[in-house]
Amino acid sequence: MGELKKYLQQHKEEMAFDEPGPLLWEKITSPPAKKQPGKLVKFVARFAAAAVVLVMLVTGIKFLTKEKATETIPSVAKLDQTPASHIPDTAVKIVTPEIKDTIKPVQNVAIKEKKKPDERYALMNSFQDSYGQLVNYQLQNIRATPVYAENPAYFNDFKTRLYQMDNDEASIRKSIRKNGISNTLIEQLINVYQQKLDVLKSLQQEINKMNTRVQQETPPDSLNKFYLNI
Amino acid sequence: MTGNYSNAEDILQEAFMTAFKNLVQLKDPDSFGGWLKRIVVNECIRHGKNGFAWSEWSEEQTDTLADEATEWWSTVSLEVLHKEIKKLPDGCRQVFVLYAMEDYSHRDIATDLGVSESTSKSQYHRARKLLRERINIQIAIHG
Repeated sequence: MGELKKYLQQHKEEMAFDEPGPLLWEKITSPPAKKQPGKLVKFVARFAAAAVVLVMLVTGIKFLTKEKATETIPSVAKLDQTPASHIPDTAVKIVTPEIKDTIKPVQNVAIKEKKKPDERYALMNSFQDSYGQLVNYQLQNIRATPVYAENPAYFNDFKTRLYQMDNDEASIRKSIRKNGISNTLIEQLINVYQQKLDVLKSLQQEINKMNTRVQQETPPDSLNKFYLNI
Repeated sequence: MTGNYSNAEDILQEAFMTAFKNLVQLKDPDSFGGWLKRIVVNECIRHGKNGFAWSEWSEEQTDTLADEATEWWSTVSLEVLHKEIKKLPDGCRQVFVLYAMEDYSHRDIATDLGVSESTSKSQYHRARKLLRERINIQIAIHG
């Protein structure tokens, strides 16, 4: 056990400086308040909204991909019927190779159609733009916020996390270029952007919190100011 | 653990509600204090589980922690120490309080907070480092 831990354990009882106020004891002893169902309803509403957005997104992506697959099926069926009308009433053995010959080029056409640019790329580009703008906005805000007193190294944790997320984003993009787009990769990309926004938000909050504290405790003359380079 | 008086009051109230609802589960009335405390700590963990920024542990940090010779924490009053603990950033404050004051192991903290053991260690180290720096500033300003 470390010395600091020992010290704190020994003086734990003496450190109970924040006693709960008398109002709290009144609340605890009184009948349950209406607050809890409200919280539950809020949570359920938020959860439902999130679920609806997610379902719409997944359905949209599936719809776009399925639509293409169904488009190719009728063309195969039509071309398949044409040679059948030319088949004379001869032996079945002759018919089989003719049908096969006609099917092969049709299958190639279907494959060629599939190789057309996937609409999910357009979808991905659009949300990349939107998220990118949000991330840049947050970054500009943070760069413009003066930071007082603390060592800039204090924020290295945030920088490291952002750097890691940039790497994650790069590897997902690389994977898309290499293997093509997929729903999983799109979701991964969305997650990275959301995480970036979360970290930037936490960083902004941490800076604000620290600035308030330092400005309250330190005389204005001895305040050190710097700007984060992220 | 919350670093905020009003949050602490809310959590305490919720913990009492939980305790009253589940009072039938308490088999030994003598252990009520410990049982309630565990509920309060769990509520604190649940309250602050999301939105923390975590950093990883490195070997260099282990060395600096082991080399710490001076008992800087005893150079200020318990009140100042308590104040500075409350001002620590959310994630590392929870880890610090759980480890140093509530005597949790890093493994238990990792399980409860849903992070890795090394993250728990690094957050504890970060808390110590920040506390030391801030207490030194306090001494420099107020003597």
